[in-house]
Amino acid sequence: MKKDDFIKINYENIAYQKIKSNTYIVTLSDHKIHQLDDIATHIWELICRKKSVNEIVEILHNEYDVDKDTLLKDINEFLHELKQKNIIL
Amino acid sequence: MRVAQQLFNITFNECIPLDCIVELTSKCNLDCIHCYVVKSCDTLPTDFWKSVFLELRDIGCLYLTLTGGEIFLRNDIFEVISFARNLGFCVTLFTNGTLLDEEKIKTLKKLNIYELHISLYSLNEEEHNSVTGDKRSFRKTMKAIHLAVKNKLPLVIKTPLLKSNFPNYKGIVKFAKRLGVRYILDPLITPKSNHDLAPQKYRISVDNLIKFYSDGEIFVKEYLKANNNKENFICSAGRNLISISSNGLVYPCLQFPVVLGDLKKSKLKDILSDKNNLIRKLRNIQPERDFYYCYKMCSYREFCLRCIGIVYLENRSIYSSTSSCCQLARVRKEVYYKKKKGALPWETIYA
Repeated sequence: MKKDDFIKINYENIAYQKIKSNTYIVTLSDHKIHQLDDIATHIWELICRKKSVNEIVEILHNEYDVDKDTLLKDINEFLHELKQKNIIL
Repeated sequence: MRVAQQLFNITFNECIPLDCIVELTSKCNLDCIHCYVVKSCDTLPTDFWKSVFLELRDIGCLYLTLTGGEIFLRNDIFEVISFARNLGFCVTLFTNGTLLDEEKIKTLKKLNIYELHISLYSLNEEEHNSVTGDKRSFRKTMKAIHLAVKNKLPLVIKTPLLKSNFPNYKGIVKFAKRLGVRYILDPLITPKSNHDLAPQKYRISVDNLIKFYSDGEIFVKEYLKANNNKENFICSAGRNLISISSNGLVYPCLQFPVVLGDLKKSKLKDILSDKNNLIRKLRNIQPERDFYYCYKMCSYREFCLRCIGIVYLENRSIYSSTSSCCQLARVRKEVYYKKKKGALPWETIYA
């Protein structure tokens, strides 16, 4: 995935809801439920708002005291996990 | 703790309606002998349900079950389902299947619903049709079941256990297993939502209840015990579960038809607010105070799945200590000890 591309959510395969500060995602292909904690939920909401990886890094960099390389690595790991669970394409 | 359990606990404690059962219509093309629905002419328009779904989404609902009557009698049913899916709901459908053809099943497949529950009363055509009152229903329902399997829909075969179909329930279990689909056998036939007890005459006998709960293919011993802590003695109704009737009334549960409010007049958020006396009363239930006998005294408590709705429908009060739930608890206890000790229990089961 290019860093400027927005991330495509696999809406067909998921149902989701934010409860308190966490997001719960049901993957319909396997009926499993996944929980995103508050930071993952923040990233998820940025993905939903069609932000690119670069934009997400920039936004989080402005909010947290973390360097961009670390953020990029963490976000890519998170996206990899979402992809493996068939939550994003 | 498993995510699903954690989600349940949070929404239960915070009274967030995670689950909502929506009765889209009370109209039905069948006339099942045991049905709890009181038919009316109310069919609220598509836009009404869309605005309700938007409200549900805002207040934390994830699991949306659409039921009837027969939901596929609505001309706008696919628009309604599609709208719900686009909002991100996990959608389950309850149907008798008789109105489903291949085209509709394929459309459902594209909509990625969570589960499709089809009611099947027997594998014997005559027996099934005698429940539904329609001589053509069995063939139509079976066709829908096979189409759902062929198109890999997440099918659930649902069978209320009645006097007439009980002798053949194992056939349905085998059938479901052969198709590789989930099945639900339900021995608890509820009164009609207007307190009419007539459907209960179709309930299976105590002897058959014992046979049913003794069926090792379906129940393991541990399953027979209910959860015994206080939280589990209060049900989800009005906490993380709500229901909406076909005329827009909000209930804690479809089996517990106490009107909390009317969506034609009020917003859902206001109806479920603690400012609503009824909802406050419901959420303040304390088993040790309000269900004193059931919670503190009854020797079947460990096995009791006390359903506040059934208690209310049978007694017109939620506080009563007698209901058909007692009979189920007695049977579950007897079977549990039979399985545990391999001997007859010391207590007698009362019909």
